[in-house]
Amino acid sequence: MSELAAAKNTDATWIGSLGTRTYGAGAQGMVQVASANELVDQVSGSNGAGKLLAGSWAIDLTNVSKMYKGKVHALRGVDVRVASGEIFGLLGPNGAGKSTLVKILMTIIKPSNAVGTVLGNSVGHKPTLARIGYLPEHHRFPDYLTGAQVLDFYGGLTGVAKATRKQRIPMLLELVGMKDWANQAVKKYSKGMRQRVGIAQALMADPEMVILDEPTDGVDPVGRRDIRDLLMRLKSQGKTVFINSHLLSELEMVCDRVAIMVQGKVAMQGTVDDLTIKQRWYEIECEGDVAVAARVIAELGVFDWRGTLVQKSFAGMAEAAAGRFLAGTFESSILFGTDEPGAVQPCIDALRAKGVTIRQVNRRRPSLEDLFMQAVTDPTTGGIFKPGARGGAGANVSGSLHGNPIANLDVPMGMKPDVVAGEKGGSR
Amino acid sequence: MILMQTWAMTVDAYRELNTKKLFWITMLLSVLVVLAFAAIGNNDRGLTLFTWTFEIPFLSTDMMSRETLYKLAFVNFGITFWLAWIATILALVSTSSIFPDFIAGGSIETTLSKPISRTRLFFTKYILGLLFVGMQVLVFTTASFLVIGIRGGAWEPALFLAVPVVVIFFSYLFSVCTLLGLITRSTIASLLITLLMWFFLFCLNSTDNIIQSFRIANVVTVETMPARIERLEKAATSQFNREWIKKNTPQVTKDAELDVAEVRAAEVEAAEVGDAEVGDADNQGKQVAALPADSTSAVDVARTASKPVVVGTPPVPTAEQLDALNSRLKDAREDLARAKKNQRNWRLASSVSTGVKTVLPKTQETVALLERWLVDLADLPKPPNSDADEISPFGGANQAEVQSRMQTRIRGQSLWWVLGTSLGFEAVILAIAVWIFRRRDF
Repeated sequence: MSELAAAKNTDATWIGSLGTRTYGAGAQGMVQVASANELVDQVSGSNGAGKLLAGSWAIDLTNVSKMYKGKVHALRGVDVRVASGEIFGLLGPNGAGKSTLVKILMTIIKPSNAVGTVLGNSVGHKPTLARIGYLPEHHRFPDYLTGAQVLDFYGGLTGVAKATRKQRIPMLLELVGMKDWANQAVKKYSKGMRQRVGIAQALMADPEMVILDEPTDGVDPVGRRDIRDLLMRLKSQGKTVFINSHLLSELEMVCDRVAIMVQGKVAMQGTVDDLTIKQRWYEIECEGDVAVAARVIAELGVFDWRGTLVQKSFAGMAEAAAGRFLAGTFESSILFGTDEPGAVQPCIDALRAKGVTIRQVNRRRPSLEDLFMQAVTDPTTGGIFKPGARGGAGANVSGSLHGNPIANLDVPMGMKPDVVAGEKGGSR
Repeated sequence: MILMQTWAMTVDAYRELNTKKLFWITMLLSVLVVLAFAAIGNNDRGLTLFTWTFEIPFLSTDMMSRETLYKLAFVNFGITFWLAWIATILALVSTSSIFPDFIAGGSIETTLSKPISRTRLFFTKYILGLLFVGMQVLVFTTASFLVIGIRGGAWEPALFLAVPVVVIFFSYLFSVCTLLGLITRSTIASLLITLLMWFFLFCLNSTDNIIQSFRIANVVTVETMPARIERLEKAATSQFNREWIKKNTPQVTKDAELDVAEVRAAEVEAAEVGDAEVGDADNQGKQVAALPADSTSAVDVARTASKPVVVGTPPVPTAEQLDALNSRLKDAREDLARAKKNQRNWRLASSVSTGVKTVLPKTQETVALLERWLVDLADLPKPPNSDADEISPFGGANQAEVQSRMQTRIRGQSLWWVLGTSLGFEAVILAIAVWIFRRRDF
C-alpha cells in the first residue's frame, strides 16, 4: 500500500487538481460538516427531531416499502435520514433489506412506496444520480476493460467531460493504489483490486454523495484501513458517505450515525453514543476472591445488589438507567449499572478499605456489534431473527430515533462489551 | 450529456466487439469469401476459377455478362448464403450474450445508477449490438464492390444497399434474441430459441412458397382450361375425321381432299398448342380415346366439324369409343370442377399463409430485395423453353408459367409488406422488451 501512502501525500494535489469548483465545494463542505455535526447532535438529543431543518438532509426517506412478486415484503416502511456531510452506516443481517434500500436510492429497484428526497430531489430522479457515486455490492465490471477504461466508461456515462476524465483517471487510480494496474484488464484483478477500482469509479464524477455497498468486501486489512482513511477524507471534503456493510467494527470506527435494519424495517437509528447512552456501566476489576468484593458492595447498601444478574444481561443496565443502581459480578469484575463516576466512588473506597486490590476501573458501553445483536434478537424467543424480510419483525422493530428499543433485550452468551470511546484506547 | 453517454457506450461496444474472437474469425472468413469471389469469372466457354475453365455454357459470357455473373454471385452466394445464413449464425452466437451479460447481477447495477434513462440505455445497447453485423456487412460489401468493379468492370454503388438490408434482416432475429435474453437471462436459451424461431420462419416461408405455387398453378389451370378443352376438341375432331377419311379414302371427292388438307393443317396447329395428353395420344395413335370432350357433344362436334365432305354415311363411334370418351370427358369436367372448387381453398390457404407471414418477420423476402434491386431479370439468361405439353407437378398447369408468375409475385411484393410489417414485428418485440427492461428490478 505504498501507493496509498503516495496517494495520501498527493491528496492536496488531487483536491486542488479537481478544479476551483471542486475545491470550493470542499470548502463549502467543511461548513456543511459543521452544520451536519450540529444536526447529528440535535438528532442525538431527546428532542432533536423537531429542530431539524428541512433540506439539510442528503437522504430523507419516509415509509419506503417494497413488495416483490411472490409477496416477499423486502421493505416494510423504512424511515431513514442521512445528514449532509456525515458518514452514515446502514447495517443489518442478511436479507434485512439493506441492498434493496440502496438500490431504490439508485433507481435500480422501483419502490412500492417511497416518500422523500435524495439530495433535494424526489427518489427516482435520474439527473440527481450524476451527483451520487455508487459502488454496488458484488459489482462486476466488463472483463474486457482495463481499470482506466472502467473509469473512462462509467465517467462518460455519468456525463464527465472527456478532458476531465483524462485528468482525473490517473489521480483516482493513484488514490486507490491502482496506478500500476491502470492498463491491465479487469479480469486479471483480485477481488480487492476490483473493489478499489470500484471505489475510484464511484468518485469519477466528484459526487456530492457516495453510496458504498460493502466497500471492504474482499479487501485485506491494510486495504480496509486505506478505505477508512479515504472515507474520512471524503467527509472532510464535505461529501456525504453512505455505507452499507457487515463489518460492524469498520462502521463503528468511521460512522457518525448508523441505522440497523431488521426484516425490512429500521430497528434503531442514531449515533452509537446515542443508542448506547442508557446502557453504560462501570466495571471494577479486582484481584482475589470477587465474592469478598461483592459482599463489601452489598454491605454498602447503596446499590441494589442482584448478585450475578447483570453478568449476562443488559436489562439491568436499562433498569439502572431508569433510576435504580444495580450491581453484580462478571468473572473477576464487579459491574455497576451506571455511568455516573460519582456513584461508584464510595464503592471503590469501601473495596480499598477492605484491602481488595483493584486492577482497573473502566467505564463501558455496548459496542456496535452488541447493538446489532440486540436488534436481531427476537425478544420473545431469545433467538436470532431468521434471515429475510418476510414474516413478523417483532415488536422491537420500532424505527424510532430516540426511543430505547433495546430495553429488556437479553444479550446472548459470549457477548463482551467494548470500552467506551476515549477511555480505553477508544473505539472510534 | 446525451452525446457523451452515447459515445461512451459506443466505445464500450467497440471494445467489447474487439475482444470477441468470433468477430474476427467471421471477418477473416468474410475476406476469404470475397477472395474466392474474386477468383471466379466467366469466359465464352463457361465459368472460370483462376486459370481453369469449367464448361458451363449457361454461365458463359455468351449467356451472361461478367457483371451480371458477379452480381448474381454477390446476391445469391455472398449475401443470401454467406451473410444471411452462415455469418448470421456466427453473429447471433456472438451477440446473443450482449443483453444477458448486460443485465447480469453486478453489472447492470452500476450502469443503471448513472443518469441515463432505461429506455435510452436499452435502445443504445440494442443498436450498438447491431454494430457486429453492420461492420461485417460493410467490410464484405466494400470488398465485393471492389471485386465487381475491378474484375467485373462495373462500379455499382447500389451494392451498399446490402448494408441496411442485411442489418435490418439481422435485426429481426436480434430483437427476438434480445427479448429472450431479457426474459431468460440466459445466452444459450436465447440463442437456441432464436435459432428455432428462425427455423420456424424458414419452414413457414417454404410452406408459403408451396401454397403459393399450388395456388398459382390452380389459377393457371382454371384460366387456361377452357382454351385447352377447345384445342382438344379441335384436335379430337381432326383426329376423328382423319380416321374416318382414312377408312373411306376411295370415296373421297376432290372437295373432300381439300377438306382433308384443311383438317391436317388444323391437326398440326392443334398439336403445336395442345397439351401432353393430346401429344401422348397422338404419338400412340389413340386418337379417339384421347378425346376429352363430352360423349354426345364430342360426337356432335365431330360430326358437325366433319362437314359433309365425304360421300356416304359418316362412321358412328363404337360403344367402347363412346365409353372412353365419356370417361375422359367426365374426368376432365371433374378436374375442372375440382380446380374451381380448390381455387377457393387455395385462395383461403394463400390468404392464411400470407396473413401469418404478414405479422411475422420476412427474413427471406428481405434478403431477396437485394436481388430485386441489383439484378434485372432482363439480364438473366432465359430458361430453356419448357415443353408446353410437359407434365407438371401442378396438375396440368404449365410449370414455366407458374414459375414466371411466382417470380413476378415475389418481385411484386411491396416494400411496405416486406420491410414495413417486418419492422412492425420488430417494433412490437422491442416494445415488449423495453417494457420489461423498464419495469424490472435488478
